[in-house]
Amino acid sequence: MNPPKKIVLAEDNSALSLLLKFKLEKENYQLFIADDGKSAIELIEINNPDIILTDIMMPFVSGLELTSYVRNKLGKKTPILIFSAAGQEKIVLQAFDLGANDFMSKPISVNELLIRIRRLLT
Amino acid sequence: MVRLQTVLENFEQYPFLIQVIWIIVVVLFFNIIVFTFLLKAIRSKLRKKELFVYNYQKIIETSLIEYVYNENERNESDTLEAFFPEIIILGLSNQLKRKIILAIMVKLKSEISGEMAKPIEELFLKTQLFEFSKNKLNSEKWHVVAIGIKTLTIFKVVSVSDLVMKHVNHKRDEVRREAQLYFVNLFAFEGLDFLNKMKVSLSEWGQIQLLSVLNKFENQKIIGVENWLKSTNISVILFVLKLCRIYNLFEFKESILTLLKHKNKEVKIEVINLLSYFQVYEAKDVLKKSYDKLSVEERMVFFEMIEKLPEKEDLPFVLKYITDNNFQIKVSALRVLKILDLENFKKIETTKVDSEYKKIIDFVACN
Repeated sequence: MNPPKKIVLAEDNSALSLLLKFKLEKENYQLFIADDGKSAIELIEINNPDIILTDIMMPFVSGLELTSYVRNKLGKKTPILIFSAAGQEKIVLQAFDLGANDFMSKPISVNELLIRIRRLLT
Repeated sequence: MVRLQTVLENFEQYPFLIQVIWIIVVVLFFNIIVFTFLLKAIRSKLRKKELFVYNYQKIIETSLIEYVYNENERNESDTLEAFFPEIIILGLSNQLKRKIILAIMVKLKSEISGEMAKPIEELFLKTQLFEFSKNKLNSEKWHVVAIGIKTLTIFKVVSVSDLVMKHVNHKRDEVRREAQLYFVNLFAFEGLDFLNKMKVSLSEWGQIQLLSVLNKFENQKIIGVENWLKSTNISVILFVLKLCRIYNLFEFKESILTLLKHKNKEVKIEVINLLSYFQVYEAKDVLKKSYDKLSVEERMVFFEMIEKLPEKEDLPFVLKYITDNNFQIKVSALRVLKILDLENFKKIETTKVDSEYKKIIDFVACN
């Protein structure tokens, strides 16, 4: 059996993080959860994940700053999927400019998220 | 005891002013002590509450997520306690716990969709949470009503539409906005029916939010536009004119044309702009006939319309205004002249005119 793929999830809504943790662990992914961008950066540096899921709006370090840090400071090509809310279309475009690979608009469908993760990991 | 007596005896010998100052000092000293203990007690109570809320939130979140994942293992015949997490059902009878549970559910429901959102909706509808939110609509506090409507919108409860309708004319803008958003979120364009009952003004921010929600829906069939265009509420007419522009509702051209005779200046300006956008040439004849009755702003917008939709028949009318007192109208008239009759425009350019007018002509010639 292949070792589980590692995912860093940066999300400040603890209930949503927990829900995604349940689902993704069931699908044989190893999840590292951060409730702000700063902790997410630490987790990324320590765990070297296969994919990063991040919300745009977070305390301390935003999803945009996180994307920029991963691409420019760490120089990693790890796929990044952004969660955005309605009305954040311009920010999503900025995230793509910074190197994000995909985005999902909230409210998110967990099944759709799984499909996108699989696609990004292939 | 003897010491206290000596202190009191000495105190009595002090002048009156010193005695008063001493009394104030002693009273303040005791007040500081009392308030310090009070503050400590309040802080400790608040910290305890904060800790309780944090821990309870964690328990409820876990319980809620387990409930969402165990959806397939439940039967319709189960009791409420068997069907839903026991800890949640028990918590509903306590006001603080109920608030925490509802806050978590609202937060989660607004962040997930699809199959996983259904059990949360079910939990809301089949427990006291629905009644609790519904009762908020009868509250005398405006913010409670607004939160109640917002919650019912998030959980898509259509059965309370009559109750929500009562708040579309609420004295607070925040409540009105939530009520309006409830209707468009749940009923899409059909939800705009509330416009028929709007007696108060629809705020600019409210209009932006409504348009943003409506933008999500694919079925863009709008019924009732003609009635709304006849509304006595100016903000409703202005909003519907925006809808007409965004959704290209050209089929209501005739109704929009009748608004050229509307009493309100703002409406008339928007109508001229919209008809210009729709390229309704016949609007120009109506406006030419009533030109003398138009305000300066309306005249300016009308000239912009002629600039966008110039026709040879406009020439005699335009020529009358190439020396108008209003700068904007004068420039517009000259621009139209340049488009429709370049020779005539050049003639004016070469005739002897004052230097200011010459500058305007040169500007129009170059732009």
